[in-house]
Amino acid sequence: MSAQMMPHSDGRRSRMVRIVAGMVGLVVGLKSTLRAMFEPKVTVSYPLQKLNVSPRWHGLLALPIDPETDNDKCIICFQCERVCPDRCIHIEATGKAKDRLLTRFDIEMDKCCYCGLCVEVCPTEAIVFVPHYEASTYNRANLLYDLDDLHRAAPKEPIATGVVKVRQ
Amino acid sequence: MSWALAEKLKAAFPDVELFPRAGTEPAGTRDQGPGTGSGEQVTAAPESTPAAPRRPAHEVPPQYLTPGVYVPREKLLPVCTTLAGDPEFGLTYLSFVSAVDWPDRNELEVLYHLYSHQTRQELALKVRIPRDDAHIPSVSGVWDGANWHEREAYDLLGITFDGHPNLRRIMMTDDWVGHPLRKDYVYQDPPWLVEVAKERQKDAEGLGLGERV
Amino acid sequence: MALRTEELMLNMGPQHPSTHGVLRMVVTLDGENVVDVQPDIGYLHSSVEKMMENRTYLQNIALVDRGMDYLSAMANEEVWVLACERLGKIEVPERARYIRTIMLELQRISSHLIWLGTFGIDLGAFTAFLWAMRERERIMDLFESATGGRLHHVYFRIGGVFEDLPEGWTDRCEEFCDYFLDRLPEYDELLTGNPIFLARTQGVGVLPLDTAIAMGASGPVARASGLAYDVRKAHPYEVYERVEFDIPVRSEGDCYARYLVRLEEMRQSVRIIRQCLERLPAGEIRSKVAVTLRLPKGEVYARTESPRGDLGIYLVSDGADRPYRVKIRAPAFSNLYALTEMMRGWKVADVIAILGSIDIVLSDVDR
Ligand code: SF4
Ligand code: SF4
Repeated sequence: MSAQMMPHSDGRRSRMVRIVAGMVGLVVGLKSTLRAMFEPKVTVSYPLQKLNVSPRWHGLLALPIDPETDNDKCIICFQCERVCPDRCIHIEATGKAKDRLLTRFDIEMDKCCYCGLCVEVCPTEAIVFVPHYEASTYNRANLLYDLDDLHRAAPKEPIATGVVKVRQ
Repeated sequence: MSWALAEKLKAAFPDVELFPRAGTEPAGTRDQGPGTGSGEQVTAAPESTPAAPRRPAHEVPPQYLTPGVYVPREKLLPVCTTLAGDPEFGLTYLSFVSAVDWPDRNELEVLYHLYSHQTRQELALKVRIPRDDAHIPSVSGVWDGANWHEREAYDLLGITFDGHPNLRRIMMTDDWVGHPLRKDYVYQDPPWLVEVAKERQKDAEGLGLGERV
Repeated sequence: MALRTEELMLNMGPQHPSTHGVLRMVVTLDGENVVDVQPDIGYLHSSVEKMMENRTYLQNIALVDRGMDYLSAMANEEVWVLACERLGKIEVPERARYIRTIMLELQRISSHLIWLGTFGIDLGAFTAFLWAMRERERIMDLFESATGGRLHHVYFRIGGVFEDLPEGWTDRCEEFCDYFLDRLPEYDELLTGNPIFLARTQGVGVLPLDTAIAMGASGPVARASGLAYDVRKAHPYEVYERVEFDIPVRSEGDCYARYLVRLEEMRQSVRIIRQCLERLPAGEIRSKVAVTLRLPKGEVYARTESPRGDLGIYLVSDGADRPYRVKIRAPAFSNLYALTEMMRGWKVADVIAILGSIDIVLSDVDR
């Protein structure tokens, strides 16, 4: 263990030179931090301010109501259920052909990995992402979204309520 | 993607056998090559319907897009020493060691992928060993990097590498039962975990954390 | 009279701020000198390879995102779709290939930035971390507006990409390139010339070239040891053969060389992005591929240069709608193994610097 006994020593330079070089290096570093101090802030204070997310945001899933038919656009083709890698969509329906009726459309939002494959395969764009990202609750059961929740397209129990929305 | 190295190796070691190559193999051969008859592994529902002839996938010979050779188990060490040491091959870099499990043929294919930084050639080696006698000489003396890869293959596929300096489980815990990447592996909760889970569930109910339906 | 000494076993981790995840290192010490290091991995093992056998080719894109290296999800998607496309002989439209290249390089920058920041923290330079995050946030915004996800994108598809770039994205990307090149000299001021940083990295944790190759190290770790090998150059995929860029190679093999290599790689990535943006053709972004794709029987090894090194997938298909066997060749796994060689003989305080310099992501190591 000889090579590593004094790995940091630099024989060619005297102590004085090293000290000066060190001081210069520190001053250069401090200068740029000082400069950053006077630059505009890049952070937002989150619960009070919120950033807008992009239109493609993979947020919570929803089955929005179509105003024309006053119902969602789902044609019960089970494609989303089949493609979901986490198998967290559960669909049940009654009736035949045209009279088919959704009796159950559950998404276990805690299992969902927000991959967006269900949105991609849906032929009628019945299932969509909404730009909402505050889904945390104190109760795990609240993350099971049933048909009503998905129609409302909102989480059951938003924990951050009454926040001020600041548009950026 | 050149098979020159594989052919050169075949010339030096007549025992090795090249991966069947597209074009050299008459269509419909079913004698060798992995993949034959393994379609049953996945749920056979779409296959068993009368519409199956539309997709004669199982008739097409498998294509090997990575050049490689089958090496008999006894010849592995000499072959590897030559490949790594002989400058004609110069395969000094071992990408990984792994294996493929074929339970219907009762076979494990141990897989090595080698690469040469000088010639930019690659070569895959496969060694077929029986599943119930999964022993193979370790190549960690040839490529140091094989050490952990062989431990991983031992851990996940249950292959014993003879002569390995430190053959312990690397991913799973030391007391794990079974080898997860084998096709017939079934996971079972150990008894202590079942107990813990029951306790947790009780606690969760007490706290009103809800029960899943 | 000689002092009687004893070797001391020291456990670092699994919960330790410097291990960047759950890694346990059993360090054998003689006084302050490291005699031996045995990394103990597997805490994040999720057997992605097994899970992939049970999912279709499309679903696996979502899985490789998070199951493998979560800091460079695009690189994981790339290697997976590349393997599938090679085996299935699926064409990728030109525009999609350019978009993929841009995304991959953005991902490389963002991954290197995280590394830069955490490496700074390991050595006590907290400012670098905050600044790196500031830059990375811009990349995340670019990702978000194009793919919808910040960390896990599920953007690449077998035969293309999911959606075209949104309007104005290329301009914003261009803007980011300018901004980023402006910012990079700040890191030079902060770290490259910092005497404390130099003292802790220069000459520390040397990995000789032949050891690096024998131990299977790749990526910036190997390039810092003098191995001029980059999959993007040696086996170009996507449009890498059409763009100009250099591979930074250093011969010192110490922590400082690894730092310089990564810093230079970020500059080169910006160069690649700029060229791609310039030449980005119009047209299709996705060729038609069935949702339940069945790849022909066969085997292929695809490899790419992820931010951490030589990332490969060996794909075995038996003609079904899901892979028969997938072997992921994780770069961090081999690089971490090389750590045992790098650390021998150094002081215990250098352990953290050396570990930080090889840029491991534990979900890549453990998969
Ligand atoms: S986003 Fe992905 S994981 Fe979530 S429900 Fe849709 S398909 Fe399933
Ligand atoms: S894919 Fe769309 S239409 Fe089909 S079941 Fe799902 S939500 Fe309904």
